[in-house]
Amino acid sequence: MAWILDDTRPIYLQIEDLIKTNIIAGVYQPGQKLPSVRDLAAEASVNPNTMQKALTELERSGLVYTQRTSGRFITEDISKMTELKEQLAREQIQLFLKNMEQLGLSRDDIRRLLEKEWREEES
Amino acid sequence: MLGKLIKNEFKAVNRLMLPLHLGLIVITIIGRFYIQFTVFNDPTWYLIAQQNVWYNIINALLIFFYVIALIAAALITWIYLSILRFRKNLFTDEGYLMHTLPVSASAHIWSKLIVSFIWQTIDVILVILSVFALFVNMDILRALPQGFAEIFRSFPDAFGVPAGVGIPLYLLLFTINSISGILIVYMCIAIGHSFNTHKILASVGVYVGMILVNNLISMIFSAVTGMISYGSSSVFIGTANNVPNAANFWLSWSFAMLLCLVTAAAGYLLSNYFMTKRLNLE
Amino acid sequence: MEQLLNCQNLTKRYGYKTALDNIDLSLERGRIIGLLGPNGSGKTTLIKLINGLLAPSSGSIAINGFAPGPETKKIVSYLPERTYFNSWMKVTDILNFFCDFYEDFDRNRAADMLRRLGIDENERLGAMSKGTKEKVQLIMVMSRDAQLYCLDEPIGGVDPAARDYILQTIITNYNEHASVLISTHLIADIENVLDDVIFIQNGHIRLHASVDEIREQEGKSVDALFREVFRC
Repeated sequence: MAWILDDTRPIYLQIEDLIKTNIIAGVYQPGQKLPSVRDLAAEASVNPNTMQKALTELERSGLVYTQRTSGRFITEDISKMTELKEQLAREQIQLFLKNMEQLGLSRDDIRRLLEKEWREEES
Repeated sequence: MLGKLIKNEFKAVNRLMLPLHLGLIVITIIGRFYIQFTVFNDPTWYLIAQQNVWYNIINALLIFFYVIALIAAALITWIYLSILRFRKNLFTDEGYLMHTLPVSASAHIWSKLIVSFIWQTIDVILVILSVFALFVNMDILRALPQGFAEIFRSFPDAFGVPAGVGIPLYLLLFTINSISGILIVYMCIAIGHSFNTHKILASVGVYVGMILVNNLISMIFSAVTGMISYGSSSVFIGTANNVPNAANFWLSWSFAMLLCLVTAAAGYLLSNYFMTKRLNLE
Repeated sequence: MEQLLNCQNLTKRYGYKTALDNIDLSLERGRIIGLLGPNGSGKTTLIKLINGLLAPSSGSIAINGFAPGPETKKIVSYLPERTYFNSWMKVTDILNFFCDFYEDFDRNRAADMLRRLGIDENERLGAMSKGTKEKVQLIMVMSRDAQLYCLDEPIGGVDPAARDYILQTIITNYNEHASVLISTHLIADIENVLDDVIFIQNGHIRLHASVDEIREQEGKSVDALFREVFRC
C-alpha cells in the first residue's frame, strides 16, 4: 500500500514526517533496524532517491543512525524521542490554536471547550 | 550474433515452410500411388480413357490441381521469404524488437538472405524431385544415362563450351541471380519504408523502376551485340548468328554475371544504408 | 563517467511536420525521469530516436558517447507503446530470444517476476489478454541490467492494479548506474516515483527540473504545474 502523500510539499519532507510519526507511534521501536532504502521506497511507492534523501534528513536530526555494515537503525536515545514528540505536539497545537483563532474563539473559550470535551470523553 | 539471428529466423519461417513442403511431398506420394495403380499397373487404362469421359475429366482436374499446388508452393515460398517475412519482421511492429537488438543492419540482411536462399533452393529441388517422382518409371530410369550422355555430347554444339564448364557456370549464374533477386526486393522494401507515408506503394514503385532499368540495360546489350535474350532479364542466355558459339557464351555469361553481381551489390549496400541511416519505423 | 544521454540540436521532421525542433537534452545516471507532454508533443519521436528506430533530420544523439547503433542497443532497454511479440511465441521462446541477444538479460529475475504474476512459461502469447502481454513485455525489458530504460507510455490504458505493479517493478529494479526515462501524459499517477521531469510541447522542451525543485519553488505538484503550463 502506497503511503498517502499530499501534492504541495516536496515528497522527501512528507516521507520524513511520516517516518517520524511512525517512530513516535511506536511502529518503529528504538534500536530497531529499518528496512533497506529499496524496500522502503517500494513500500511507499516512491523513488528510491527520494527515500534516501528523507533518511539522510532523519540521520541529520539524529533520529536514525547508520552502522556502516549492517544498515540503518532507529535511535535508542530516548531524550531525542521525547524532544521529537514534543516538537510534533507543538506543531499540532500551534495549528489547532490558529484554527480556533480563525473561528473567533478566545483563550478562555478554548480552555472551556477543551475541558468540556474531556469530561464527556471520560463519562 | 549472425548465427543466433539465423537460428531464430529458421525457427520462425519453418513454421510455414515445413508444413508447406511436407504438403508437397504428401501430394506427390498420393499422386504417385494414383498414377501407379491407374496408369502404370493397369494395361487397360488406355481403353478406359477412350471410353469414359469422366475418367478423363477427373484425371485432367487432378493434374491441374497438382500443377497449381506446385506453382503455389514455389510462389508462396518466394513471396513469403523475400517479401512478407522481411517486411513484417523488420518494418512493422516486430521491427521494434528486431531493430533494438544489439545487431547491425547487415547482420539482419545476411540472416534473412541466407535463410531465404536455403529454403528457396530446397523448394526448387523439391519441386523438381516431385515432378520426377510422380512420372518416373523403369523405362525412364533406363533411358536416363543415355539422355544425360546426349545432353553432354550436344552441349558444346549449342553453347560453344563443354558441358562440364557450361553447366556449373550456369548453375552459378542462376544462384547469383536468385540471390540478387532477393537482395533487390529487400532494397525496395528498405527504401520504400523510409518514406513517411504510402510505404508499400513506394516499395512497389522502386521495384518497378528497378525492373525497368534492368530491362533497359539488357535491351541496350541486345541492340549492341545483336543477341536475343531468352532468360529472365538479367540471366541472359543470348544467341547471335554472326558470333561463334564460344564467344557468344562467354560474352553473354559474363554480361549476365556482371549484371547480377552489380544488382546484388547495389541491393545489399542500399538495403544496409536505408536500414541504418534512413530507418523510419511507424 | 560519460554522460548517459546527450542530444544536441536534435531535430526530426516528417515531411513538412516538425516533430522535434532543435532540442538540447542531457540525462545523468541514477535518475527516474518523466517525459511529460500532451499527445503528439514529440515524446515517442524522441524515444524512437534514442533507440535508433528513426534517423534524426539533423543534430546528434549520444548514449554513453556513442550514436545509436549496436553498441548503444546493448545498454538501452526499450519498451515501445505497442506489443511486438508474435502471437505464436511461448513465454519460454521470448525468454530464450532475450537470452540469445542481450548479454545483460537476467533470466532468473524474469522467471521470478513471471512466477509472482502467475504467468505460465509455456503459455502462448496469443492466448493472453492485452494487459498480460504488456506485463510480459515489461518484465522482459526490466529484467535487463541496462543503463538506460526507455518506457514509452507504460501506464497508458492499464487498470490501477496493473499500474501499481508497473511502478513497483520500476522502483524495485532501480539501480544508481542506470536511468529510467518514462513517457506519459498521466502525471499524477507516476509523480511520486520521479526524480526529474521534462515537459515537452510541440517538439520543444519547456522545462527540465527535479520534482523537489518544482514543489519547493512553485508550492504545487508537478501535475498541477503541468495543467497550468499546458492549459488549453
